[in-house]
This record gives sequence, structure tokens and C-alpha cells, in this order.
Amino acid sequence: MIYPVRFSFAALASISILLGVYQGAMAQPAKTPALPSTINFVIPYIPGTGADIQTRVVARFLPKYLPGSPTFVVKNDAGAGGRAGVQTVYRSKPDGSTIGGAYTPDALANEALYGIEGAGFDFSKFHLSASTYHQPYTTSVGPKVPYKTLDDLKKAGKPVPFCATTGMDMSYIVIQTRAIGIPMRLIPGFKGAPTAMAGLLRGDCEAVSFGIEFTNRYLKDGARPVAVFSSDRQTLWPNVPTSKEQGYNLELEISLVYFLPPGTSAELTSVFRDAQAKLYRDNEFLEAVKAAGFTPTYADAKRTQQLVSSLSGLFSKYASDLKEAAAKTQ
Amino acid sequence: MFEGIAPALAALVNSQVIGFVILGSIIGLVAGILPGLGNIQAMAVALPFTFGMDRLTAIYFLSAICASATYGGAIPAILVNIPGTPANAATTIEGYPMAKRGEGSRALSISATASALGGLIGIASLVVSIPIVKPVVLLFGPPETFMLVLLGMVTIAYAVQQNMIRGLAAAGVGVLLSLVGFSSVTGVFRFPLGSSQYLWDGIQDVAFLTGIFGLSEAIRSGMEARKGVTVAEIEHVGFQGAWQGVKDVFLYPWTLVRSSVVGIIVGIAPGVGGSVSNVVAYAMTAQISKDPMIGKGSIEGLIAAESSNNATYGGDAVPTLAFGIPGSAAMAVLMAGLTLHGIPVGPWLMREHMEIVWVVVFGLVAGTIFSCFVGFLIARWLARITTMPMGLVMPVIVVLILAGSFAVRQNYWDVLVTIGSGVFGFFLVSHGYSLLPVIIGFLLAGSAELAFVQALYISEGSPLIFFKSPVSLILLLSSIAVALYPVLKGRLLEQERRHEKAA
Repeated sequence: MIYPVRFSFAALASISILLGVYQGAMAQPAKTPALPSTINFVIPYIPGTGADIQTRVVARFLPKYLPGSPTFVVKNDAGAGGRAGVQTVYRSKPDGSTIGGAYTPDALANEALYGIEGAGFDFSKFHLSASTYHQPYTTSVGPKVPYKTLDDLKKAGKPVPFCATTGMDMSYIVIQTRAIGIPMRLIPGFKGAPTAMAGLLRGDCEAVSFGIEFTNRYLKDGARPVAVFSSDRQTLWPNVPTSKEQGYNLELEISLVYFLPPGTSAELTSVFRDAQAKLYRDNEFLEAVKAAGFTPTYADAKRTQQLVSSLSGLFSKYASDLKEAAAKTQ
Repeated sequence: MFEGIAPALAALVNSQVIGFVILGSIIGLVAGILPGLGNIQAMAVALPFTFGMDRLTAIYFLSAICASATYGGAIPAILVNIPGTPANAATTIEGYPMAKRGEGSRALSISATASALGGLIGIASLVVSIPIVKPVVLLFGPPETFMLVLLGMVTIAYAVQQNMIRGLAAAGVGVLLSLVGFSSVTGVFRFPLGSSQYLWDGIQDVAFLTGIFGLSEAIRSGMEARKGVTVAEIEHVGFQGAWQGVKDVFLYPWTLVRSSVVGIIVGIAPGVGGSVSNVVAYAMTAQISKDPMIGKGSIEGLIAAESSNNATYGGDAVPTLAFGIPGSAAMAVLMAGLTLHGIPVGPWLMREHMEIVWVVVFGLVAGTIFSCFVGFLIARWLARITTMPMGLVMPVIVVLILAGSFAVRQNYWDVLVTIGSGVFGFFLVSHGYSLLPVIIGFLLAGSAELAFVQALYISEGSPLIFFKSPVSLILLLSSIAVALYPVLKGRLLEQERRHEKAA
């Protein structure tokens, strides 16, 4: 005999339990993907460079925000004009065992110069996790030259010699001089930004172009800023006019972007993105970055993608100029 | 100038710091001994372990590693003809023949003493230059750097004097090998041999040097072992041999000072380091020495090679600490260490953190002294390696060479370059060619070309730029003097002989 009330009660109870189980299952977070115990942090720069130092600080603090607190090993894969390290990440297994870091202009300039096949990677296929060290590029002149503005450089009446390394400063020198119409000749081959800056102070050239924080270190020694390539004045140099104020709407910014190999699952990518978002709210980490002399800015994956796309457009626009300059002197 | 010296010294007498200085020296020493590794790799690996230390301890630790690897690199150079680091290339030329004739212990001891004294002279130069450091750093632009490297290049005149044609041919091959790869001043990828990327950065120093010295010797020894020849005959492996080595160094004070000065100048000049100073100082000594044993196990030649490469660290530290310009790759890693411990390196370091400058100075001194002292103590035991049966030693050496070549970049092509260089070196030696002109050409030509072209870019093509600065002119006159010395010496000897005959 069936007792309708009891049946109804039992049925309701069963449904409630089932619903509860289902809801419970729905409420539980998705299973966190397992990470390897050791993660390679590959950067295309030699030890001691700004990117290397910042990456090492990230590698030191990031594990506590990742499941299993993996150990990071920073690998300096600096060969082939910065392509080797990016290629290493491009070819790595998308299992969370490798993450890369590079300055956006460096990676994108390689693509603009050599194409996807020549560069050995398609940067658009990486899964970007975050970016940091966003800062505008600047142009400065030596202590004994008369130029005070971008127009002074434009009207120099002769090619202005720029000391350059083989890195992103050369790309930005080419872009800014073409965009503004500054007559320019490159003095290439300086090994590292400080060496090029010493060249400026010695009088080997009349101008250099580097990020604002780096250039700021050499003002007391005689470097004189002419312009900051941004739309707004910078707190570090409140008295230096921007390129926009000088009538040239050209923004040149660098950032250190972190990326995962193509094919990395959405879940794994989220793990790294979330961890980096938390990292850039960690006061101890932020203080460590500041103590190393860098400003710990942060952009999430969406904003980073916008920055990369915008810069990619700029490099495509000036690709032929960059190729021409590289063919003469890189 | 002397502000900050007290806290730096106070930290050094702390037992924990002393412990880390000793540990750092041992790590550097071991990294130097292993082919392919050096202070750059050792410091890069050690960096994360310093996060738990206070900043002064960490800098002492890293400085000790930095200072001790170059002496470590002399040990395999002397005992088994493999330069442990590129800065020990010339060491093999005199050290290995000494070991082969049973004087390994003495050679190791000479190397330890010359390294320590050269290192201390280099660091003294750093201290002396502190008040005038900025003008000193700015003295060396591309024209001056070119003249400095030219001074090394003209020593090819010595290296080829026994057989001019063969010597020049060998030097030419060295120069050509140095030109392989992408030129940062002309934008041309030279001799890619079909590779789109591998040869972009040129032929790697470690892969080439371990092959041409170490592997070629292993091949030669293997060939001779088949003929029943044994390794070195043992002579002075006891403490007496080691002590004799210490005394030897003081017999050549001028060589020690001159070579250390070369090391310091090379260190200050941007873009050139211990591998250049080692060859330049050795070749200069070989050119002007009266020692008939030069090239065959000369004490004076060994002193020149080993004092110069260690003195280079003092010179390297000048632009590093004064201006934030790393004088070498090792100094770049040391800079990273300072920065990671909240001391960004730049022109303000000497204005605001003199205690850090003194910590680096004392750390380099402590690392140099400790590693060389350990080297001296263990010299007599290490020297016994040369008396071990070839069949036991050679397989280990070949594995070390190939593993070392691979370890630098984890690239299998580097191993092939080592094997190719080994066969090439064996061919050269067995046909009577000297390796010295090849090495001078290979190590110096790249730096010479870069500085030369950069200087011409600056002057818009005018060669007068090379004669404008006093430093450039002094270096040019020195080059002329060094180049002409063997010719003048030969003529003088001939005149003396004629006078003797006439009398």
C-alpha cells in the first residue's frame, strides 16, 4: 500500500536532497588545475637587466598565490636578439611548467622586423597573464648641446646623433624621429642602456631615448630631458613637457608583459592571472619592487591585451622604417 | 670617501658573514673549476638563496663568489689544459706545460699567488679611483677601447715570429671565427652557414675554448696513450713545490704590476673583460720577456696571465659601482644582487651608499684571498691528477668538457662546436701551428671591430677620432712600441753578435 502523503513527503525530501547535492556541486569552485612543482620563468635577457631583476622579484613572491606553491626557476635565454627566450616559451608545453616575460617593444619589434616565421613566434598566440613596469619613453640630450624641445631637434639642420643599443630604444628612436620628422643618425652597438647613457655624457652622441625611470637616474650627471612621449605630465618629471604638449600626438610606452605558451588551457591561464592579480596587491611584494628601484604598476590580462594590440599596430605602421634602419645598423 | 667603511668592516667580523664568505669562495672556486661554469652562473643560481639574508651578508656572499671563480678556472687550465673560464685561456699556454713536466703543484701555487696579488692590486685601484671615478669611467669611449684592444692585437707579432706565414694564417682564422654572427654595428648576419638563428650570437667562447684547448689535448693524449706514453712525470708535488710557487711570483714584480695594470684598464673599458686582459697581458709579457721558457711552461708568462684576469675585477667594479655600467657579465649579476636587496645601482650609489661600495670591496678582497689560500693549500693534492693513468682521467675530462659546453646554454649545437674546435685544435698543433694567434684573433677581433666601427660612426667616418684623446694616443704609442720591440731586440742582438765577432 502506498501512502500518498508519505510518498509525497518522501518524494519532496528526495528531490530536495538531489537539488541540494546538485546546488552544492554547482556552488563548489571548479577543480583547480594542478601545477608542476617547478615552473620555468623564461626571459630573453641576461642576468642583471631591469627585466631580469623584476622577474626575479615576481618569482620570489608569486608561489604563495599559486596552488602547491611551486618553485620558480628564472632562465635567462638571451640569444638571437631576444628571440630565443620568446621562442622557448612559444614551443613549451602548455602545462603550466613555463611562463615567459619580455618587454613588449622587444617582442613586437622582432615580429615587425623578421615576420612570424623569421621571429619564430606569433605573439598574438600567447596567453597574456598580466603586465607591469608601464612607463613612457623619453628623449634626453647631452649636457653640452643646445636643444630644449622636440622642435629644436627637428630644426637641428643636420642629422642628430642618437646613441643606441640593439634593444627597444632603437625601435623607438626610429619611430619618434620618423613621426616627428627629426633628422637622425644612429650610433649603434652600445652594450646596454647605461653604456649608451655614458656615451651621451661623454659626447659620443647628442641624444638618447630610454624609459623615464632609467633616464631619471642620470639627470644629476648631465642628461637633460627634452620630451616625455605620453599624453599626461609625469609626476617624476612635472616640468618636462609631453610630446602632446609639444604638438606631436605620439605615445611611446614600454611594459613588461608576462605570457603563457599557446594552447594553455583557460583554467591554467586563470590560475596565473588570478595569482598575479593578488600578487600586485601584496604590500610586501610591492615594497620589494620599489626597493629594487622600480615602480610596481599592474595591468590585468584585458588591459595588457589592449596595450599589446595598440603597440602591434604602431610597429606594423613603422615596419618598413624599422627594417630600413636594421638593415643599415641594428 | 671613507664614510661607510666602519659598518662594512663591522659586518665582516660577524661569524655568520665570515661563514658565508667562505661558502661563497668555495662555490666560486668549484664553479670556476668546472668547465662551462663560472661566477656568472654561480651567482645567478645563488641569488634566490640570498633572499633570506640581510643585505650586507648577501653582498659579501655574492662578492666572494664573484672574486673566486677566476682562480678556480686556472686549476683545470693548468692541470688538464681546459680553461675553466674564458679568462683562463692564456693560462693553459704556460700552466699546462709546467704540469706536464711534473710542476703542477708549483704552477697552481704561482697561479694562486699571482691571482691573489693581481686581485688585490685591482681592488686597490678601485679604492684609489673612488674620488675621481666619474672622469675615469668617461675616459673610455669607442676610440680608446679600440686602441686598447689594438694593443692586444699587435702582440700577434710575437705569436707569429717563429713562423710568420703559419702564425698569420692562424691569427686570420681566429679573426674570421670571431666575425661569425650578427654584427650589431653593420646589421649583417655573417657566415650563418644556413642557420637562421644558431650562429646569430657568434661562436660561443666557452664551446670554442674548451674544444680547442681541452678536447684537442684529450685527442692528442689519446693518440699518444695508444703508443704507450704515460701522463706527467711526477717531480714537485709536495709542499715544497707549492711554496716555491709563492716565492716565484715575487721574483717578477714588474711583470705582476704591469699585467695587473693591463687587467685594470681592460676592466674599466666597456665591453671587454677578463678573457681579453688574460690574453693581452700574457702576449705582452711573451713579447718583451727574456725568459727562454716562454710558451713552454714559463713562470713569468703564467704570472702575467693569472694576475691580469683577477685584476680585471677591480677595474670592472669601477664603472659598475660608479655609474651603474656593468664592467662585465659577472658585475651585471652582482648589480642584480644589489638591486634585489634594495640597493639600485647607478651614479648615486657612491653618493648615498658608500657602505655598500666598501662591502663589495671587502667582499672581493675576502673572496680573492680565501680562494687563493685554499688553492695554495690543496695545490699539492690537485697536482696528483696529472700523475693518474690516462685511461682513467681522459674519459672524465672529455665528459666534463662536453657537459660544460652544453651547460652554458643547454644547446646541443654548442657540443658540436666543441668537438669541431677540438679536432681543429688537434690539427693545428699536430701540424706545427701555435694556438696563441688563433686565440688572440678570436677573443680580440670582435671587440676591436665593434669599437672601430662605433668610433667611425661617431666621427662620421673621420679616422682622426683615434688621435684626439690623450688616452687613445698613449695606447697607440704603446702598441707601436710593443709591435716594434721584437724587431728592435733582434737587431740589437745581431749588432752585439757582430761586435763580438769583430772583437
